Amino acid sequence: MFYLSLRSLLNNKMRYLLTGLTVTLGVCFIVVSFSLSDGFRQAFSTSIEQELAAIDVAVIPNEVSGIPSDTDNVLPAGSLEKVNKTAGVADAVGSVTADLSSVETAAGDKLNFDSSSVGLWAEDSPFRNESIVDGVAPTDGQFVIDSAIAEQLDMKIGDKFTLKAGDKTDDLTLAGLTETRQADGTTKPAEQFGELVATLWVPERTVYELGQFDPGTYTLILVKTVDGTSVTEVQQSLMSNLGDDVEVQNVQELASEIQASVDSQIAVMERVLLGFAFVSIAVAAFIIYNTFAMLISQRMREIGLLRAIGAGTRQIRTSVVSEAAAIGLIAAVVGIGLGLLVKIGLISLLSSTLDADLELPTVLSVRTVVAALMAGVGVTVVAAAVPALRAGSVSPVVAMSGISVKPGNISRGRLLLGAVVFIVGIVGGWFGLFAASGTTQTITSLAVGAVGVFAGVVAISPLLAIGVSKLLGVLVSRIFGLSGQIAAENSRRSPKRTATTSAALMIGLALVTTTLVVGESVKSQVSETIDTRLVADYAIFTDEDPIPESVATEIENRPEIGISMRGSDGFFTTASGDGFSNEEHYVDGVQVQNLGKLFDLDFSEGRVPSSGTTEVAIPKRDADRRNLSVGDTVTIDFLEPATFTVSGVYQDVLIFDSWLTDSDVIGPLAGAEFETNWMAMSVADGFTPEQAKAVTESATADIEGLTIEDRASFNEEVRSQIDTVLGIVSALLLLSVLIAFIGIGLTLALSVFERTRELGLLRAVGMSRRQMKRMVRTEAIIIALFGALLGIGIGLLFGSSAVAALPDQIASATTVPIVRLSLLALTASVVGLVAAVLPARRAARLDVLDAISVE
Amino acid sequence: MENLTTDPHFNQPRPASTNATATLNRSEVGGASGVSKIYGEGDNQVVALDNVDVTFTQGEFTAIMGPSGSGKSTLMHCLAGLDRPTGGQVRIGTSNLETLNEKRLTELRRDKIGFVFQAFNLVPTLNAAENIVLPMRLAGTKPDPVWLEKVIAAVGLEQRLNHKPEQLSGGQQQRVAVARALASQPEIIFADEPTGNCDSVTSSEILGFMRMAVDDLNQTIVMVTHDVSAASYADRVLFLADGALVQSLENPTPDSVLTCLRTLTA
Ligand SMILES: Nc1ncnc2c1ncn2[C@@H]1O[C@H](COP(=O)(O)OP(=O)(O)OP(=O)(O)O)[C@@H](O)[C@H]1O
Ligand SMILES: [Mg+2]
Repeated sequence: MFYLSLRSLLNNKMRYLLTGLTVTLGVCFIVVSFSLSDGFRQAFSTSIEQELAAIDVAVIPNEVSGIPSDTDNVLPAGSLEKVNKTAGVADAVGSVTADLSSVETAAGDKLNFDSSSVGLWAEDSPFRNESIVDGVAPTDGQFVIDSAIAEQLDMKIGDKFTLKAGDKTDDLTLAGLTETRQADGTTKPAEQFGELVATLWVPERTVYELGQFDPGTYTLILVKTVDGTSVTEVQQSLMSNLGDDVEVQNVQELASEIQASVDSQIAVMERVLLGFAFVSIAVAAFIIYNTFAMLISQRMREIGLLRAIGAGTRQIRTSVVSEAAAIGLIAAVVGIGLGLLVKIGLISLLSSTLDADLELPTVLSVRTVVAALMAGVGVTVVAAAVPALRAGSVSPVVAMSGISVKPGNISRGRLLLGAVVFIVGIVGGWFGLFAASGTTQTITSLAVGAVGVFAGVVAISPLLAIGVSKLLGVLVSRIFGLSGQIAAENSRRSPKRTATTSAALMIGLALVTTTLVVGESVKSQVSETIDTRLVADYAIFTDEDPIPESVATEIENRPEIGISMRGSDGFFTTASGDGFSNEEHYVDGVQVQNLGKLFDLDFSEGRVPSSGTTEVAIPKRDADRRNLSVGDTVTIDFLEPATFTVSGVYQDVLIFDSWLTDSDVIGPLAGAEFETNWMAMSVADGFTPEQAKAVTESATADIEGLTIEDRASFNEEVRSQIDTVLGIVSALLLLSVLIAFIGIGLTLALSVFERTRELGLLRAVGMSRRQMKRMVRTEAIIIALFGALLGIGIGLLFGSSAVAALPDQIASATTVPIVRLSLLALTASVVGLVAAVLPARRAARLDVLDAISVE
Repeated sequence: MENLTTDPHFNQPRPASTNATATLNRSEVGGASGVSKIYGEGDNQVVALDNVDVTFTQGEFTAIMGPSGSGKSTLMHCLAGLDRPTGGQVRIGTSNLETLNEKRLTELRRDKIGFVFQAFNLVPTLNAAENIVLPMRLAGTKPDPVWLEKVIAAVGLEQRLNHKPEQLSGGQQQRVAVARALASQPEIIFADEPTGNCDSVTSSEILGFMRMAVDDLNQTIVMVTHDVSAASYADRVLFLADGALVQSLENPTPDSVLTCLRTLTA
């Protein structure tokens, strides 16, 4: 029977090409997801390997609990000497770096780095990849820098620069240029992954001064062992010599630790991409199912004939399934190739938009190939299974009697099952949103919910298709007359087919609608929350340097400013309490006496911490999770652990989401790390916001990277973030929508073919080519609109459920973006029209005589 | 007259042609002059039509007969503007088909010509009534209600107008098709073996109806048929052989038709 499958493949090239294309696109998406993340992984691991190439062992500071700081994170003085004395150590080099806040030219222009730091230039280090290619090694008052970076920023040997780190500055002269050789023999470019990260190599005194380190301390000591000794033994001796304060890692441990943190970030991206790839594949499955169902019903006679001359049920089924497998295989292989091309295209697109030279190795792992083939072949075969079963059970008599395209009835069982699955989906979704505890449970129930709702709607949709196309039929026959009426009748004639084709479109549009609805609801609630709860008129934030005391005082004393409040950036630290310990939290220090006057935090119980006490106000989320209420005590780890009493539980999530304490209390506890990073303030009576802002701006003119944020700009920022997410989600769903439209085109093409005789008749009795085209196009519009309506309907359901589950400050009432949704439906029908171009043309070009002679 | 007993019309009134209306208004509504149709080239060349001249006058029922492959369908397709002849001219009403482009040709079919095919005459998604007014709706014109009522009454399908084709018997479907052909009051109706798929009772029903359309409604009908008794309903029978018009028989009876056929195939 296999030659039959093969012949049928060749005879129906165009159809199979398009069916295959839907699979190819889905597979392509999978391949892009995998190969992109594999590429990133490999790129990172190569760069890690290369950095670590010469190193055997690294000595690093032990992780400190509580608030880590630059100066905490160093190895105690004397460590390098101890390392050098350890047996088996051939060479040990201490390294120390300090972040810079800015580098300015003699003319006072800031150099345009993404980030910069000073590093210790160790002249004889065997670990160094940098070598001087021009000028000399840095001595006191000098530095060297990568030649590519120097060229990009127009830095010349002999130029003078001012380096700033915190409140320290230093004037240095550029003494030389370096080049960094990479493992593959090339020279490291100025930018990597679109970032310009510069290290200014300086002698010891400079780095210690700028970084405010104690002399003799290092952030890292790199060790090379004597040839022939065991690295593990040296590692052991180092550990016993240096004690518990430090951590000694061999190169594998070091590499795998770095790799693991990179991997986990890549894995998130990979999963998100795969999720969307899955949606595309699912949509493709609908198309495949539909195509095969139609092909089988068109081949009823042929199959009946085969059955009559003795082909067995099994043989027929095998033949259909082999056909599907062959298509799936070819499509998957093409998809793999296309995926790799798309990945390369994406990278170069990214490179040009970031104006950087991104290079990812092209990796085609076994995993990618297996996943792609499994998805391609698997989906095609599974989707074709039902049509195959049906083909096998065609009785010779039925087929010979010429009932070729009689649509099957919509069985009660199907509707009932659909209803049950739909309800299961609703319950699952409800549980996931409102009752589940833990991420896994939530995600599982949400997945069950989404799949259940989709599957249920698909099962019921033929019934809906009858109703909706009747309704749309009235509409389109008003607009398009007879062509419209016949088109509507056609889409009702085989409601299952219409429903399946629309279902493919429905999925993508439902997800787009969901994000739209949630996004819009959040936007409108956020605006409201900002208006009602944000009493402060504006706030200033610093990027790197803190707001100096003198500036803060100056602002506070200006008459234009009403109430003001200083705050620190959240300390990321650990806290313990009844039933939990060492849990990570952000703790903010603010001037609590003014907190309530500038922000309405919507306390569910208690109040703002009292000034001068060890009280803390916590977000409701944490209170609920840890069962904390007013009066409970928690221990927060600053330099030393300190006990705090919960003074209140607040419900706001938009403005604050941290543990709020009195800055005057935690200032001493946090030591040098405490700084004023932001101030919120209101405008004094009798002054305009513009006046107040002008005063603030002039007071803070010297602070680099300071931003002023008022209600409007805060609102705008939140909105633009939501729009970005919306844009990304829509872009990722675009492919599935594209596949759905190929499906519409395919269904129409098949149905034009199926109805050749009927179309010929219409032409013979006087339907013009134009009317014929219009008829096919109208059918496309009906299918697209039906899909859009279903999708938007489900999207509204999903969206409003999500809104109900979100905290009230973020989204309380569902906002239905009517204009955008109507645009979505309109776009769907327009693209449906485009999908119908070829089938319509084919129908119009039908030779009347040939068509009516078709038996 | 020894075959009279086998004549299905023996006990029925003889299909009338000597009707009063038949003598009225004998103007030409269509025809062909020197029409040829050649398929293929060289050795594969098939002459399907060979220099055929024919005219059809109003209120006349013409049957076309001939052996299989003699060119009957080809002639009809050329006459009806479904196919273009390789030579000669075809006239429908005042139009010369040669001069018409595809668009005009479609309009001509819609407005001036009615069709009845052997099977699959109806659009399955439209009910009987909608199928009947299809050409007019395609043209965007309103059917003449008096005429339409007359046609529908004549078909005798008043009770079945809302039924879809699949709910109608084969004979009923063909009657709907004839009604559609009549409804737009075309210049001429072409029917290619309209009773080819019907039993004899249904056939005579449909043929009787077509006869009546000619007699009572003054329609012009051209019908291709293999059936001798079907041909006897016509006012004249044209015989085709190897693409050429070989004989014409006025006021045919089953007997005279059969005799003619015998001499042709002999
Ligand atoms: N498209 C075509 N290509 C080549 N030859 C054709 C084509 N259509 C018809 N013919 C030939 O033209 C001749 C006339 O065919 P036509 O269909 O008109 O015969 P017919 O009289 O209608 O026959 P039947 O009684 O079997 O329907 C035949 O020899 C046929 O083989
Ligand atoms: Mg024929």
